Amino acid sequence: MFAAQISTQTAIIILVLFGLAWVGFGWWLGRRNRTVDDFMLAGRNVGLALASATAMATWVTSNTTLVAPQLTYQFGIWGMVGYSMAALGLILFAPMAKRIKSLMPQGYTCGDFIRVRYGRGAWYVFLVVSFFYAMGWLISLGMAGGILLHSLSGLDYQIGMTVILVICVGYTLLGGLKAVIATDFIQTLIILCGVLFIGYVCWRDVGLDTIYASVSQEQPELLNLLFPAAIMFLFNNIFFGIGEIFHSNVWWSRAFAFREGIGKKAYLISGLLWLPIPIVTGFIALAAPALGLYPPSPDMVGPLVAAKLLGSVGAVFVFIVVFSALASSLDSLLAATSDLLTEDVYRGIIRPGASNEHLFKVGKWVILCLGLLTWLLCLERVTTLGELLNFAGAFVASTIWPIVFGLYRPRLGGLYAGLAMLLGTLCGLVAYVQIGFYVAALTSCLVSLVVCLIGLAIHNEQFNWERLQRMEK
Amino acid sequence: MAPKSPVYFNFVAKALLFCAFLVHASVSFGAFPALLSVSDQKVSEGYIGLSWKQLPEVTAVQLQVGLDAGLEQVVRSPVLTGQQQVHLSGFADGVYFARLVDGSGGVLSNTVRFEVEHRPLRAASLLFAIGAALFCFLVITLFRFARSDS
Repeated sequence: MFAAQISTQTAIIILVLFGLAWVGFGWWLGRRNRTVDDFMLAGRNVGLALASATAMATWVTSNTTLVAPQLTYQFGIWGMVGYSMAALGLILFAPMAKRIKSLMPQGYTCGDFIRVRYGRGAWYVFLVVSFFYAMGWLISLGMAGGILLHSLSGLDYQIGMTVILVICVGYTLLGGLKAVIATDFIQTLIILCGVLFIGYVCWRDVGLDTIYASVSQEQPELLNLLFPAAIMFLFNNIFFGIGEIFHSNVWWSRAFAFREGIGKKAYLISGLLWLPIPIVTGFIALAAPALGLYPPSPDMVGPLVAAKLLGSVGAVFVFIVVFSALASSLDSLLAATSDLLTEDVYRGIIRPGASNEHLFKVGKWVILCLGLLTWLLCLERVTTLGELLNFAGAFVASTIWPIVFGLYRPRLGGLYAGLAMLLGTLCGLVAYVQIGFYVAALTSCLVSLVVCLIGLAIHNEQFNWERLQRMEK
Repeated sequence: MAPKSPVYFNFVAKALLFCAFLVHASVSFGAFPALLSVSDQKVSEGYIGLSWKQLPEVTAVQLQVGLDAGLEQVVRSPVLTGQQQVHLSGFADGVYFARLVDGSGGVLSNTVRFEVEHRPLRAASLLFAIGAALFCFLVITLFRFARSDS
């Protein structure tokens, strides 16, 4: 066990208290959910404050609190800056959210858009991409839960991961998107205050001079602005972040759920507020050698440094902050992936005539099954969080151009959109294996653009936008 | 017969020393309480993972990382408590050696070797330029589309 940690007993008490609070809150919020619109889209009436908070809290994930320090510890300055550039995904999605809401006022999922806009072939490819990404993110979140508890309290990885999954599945199941958004609001406040406080303590107690001196001596490459792998990582991470947001139902479902005229402002505000957070969480990782900390696994460096800086009482605080970050993403992802599977796979493929009441029940079963599948896949800790996430980058970056062209230009046909996603993903995976995890998204995005441009050049489909308004089957 | 050059003697001496090291290492690996292993023999990103088995009677160990097999030129020497693995990053190009020692300098493990060779800067710069161009194209495209939409 490392120094400055909390006891296993304290960790369990916090978990139980938080678990009861979140699950109870979820039940209270969800007790009036009657329709599938209430459960999946919070009645399509979310205001600016809650909208901005939920977008930001969802994007502050275990990745921000665990992977941003990991990438800074591995790639130095570029790792930290590159990670913060993921805010561009939220900022660039802002005008798209407005367009999505106006094109599909009665839409439910991003899958609806791809199916109506590009047809079934591209839709199947998109569903596979989306599902792989969602599972990758869910697994990373479950793993992060286990790593967090193990780092801070020494609690067994499997037990920690199981408990966190049970809590998040519990309140998402009871409250639907309404519970997810409301808990996100509270979690945002906790995360913002917590991260800023930890950053301040690091600056006050360790100091910039000491950090610079120790990194220069022990990890000189981290300060090198011409660090080759880090240079390659920078734009890769930007495209990964953009791909995650542009394609994922987590963000589309919010665009549908926000009140008319809110989406653009909410995504812009959340992106600008999110931008400095990875800088702060990444910065504390650079203090590791100055504090004599050398993590067993790179994704443990953030919590270890924070716990060392704040002492045993502070470790409780760190635990609450990271747990909030984890929960805010895990619940959103569970809800959005369940929507996608319920609406697109169940209603779209398995039972097209299913009633809304029936879908309401199916949605809950899907959340439960997703939680169970995530738990099974998290049992073995096969890789680090950073590498797992960037594997998903090959999938999501391939969707950027088909979505951008699909939303604004009627020319691009389904064949080319499907091929762009398929070939982009395959080339991204080859780059992941042959070169490294830090080039997968960039390669995938580039190949996808080339295919889309070929499609636009040689094909001239004139898509009728009213088909999206009518939500044709 | 012409006298042997100093270079020749130097080479023979190094070869003999290397053989002695190999013999010593193969004989004494089993005598070390810990078997140190490295995640990769050659890395391109400057970070590496090292792991070893739990040492029941030792609470804290020191990991020595140096530039020579004898660990006379140590560049890092973190003290690790309660760990069985460590992840180190930020290495510059070079060949490194690592081993575990106890508080009094007693050797606890075998010596492992790993090589750091970063990817060529030219290739990395090319990817950086492609990424920048692609990003600019995306931003301009979205800006134009959003303007025409409004």
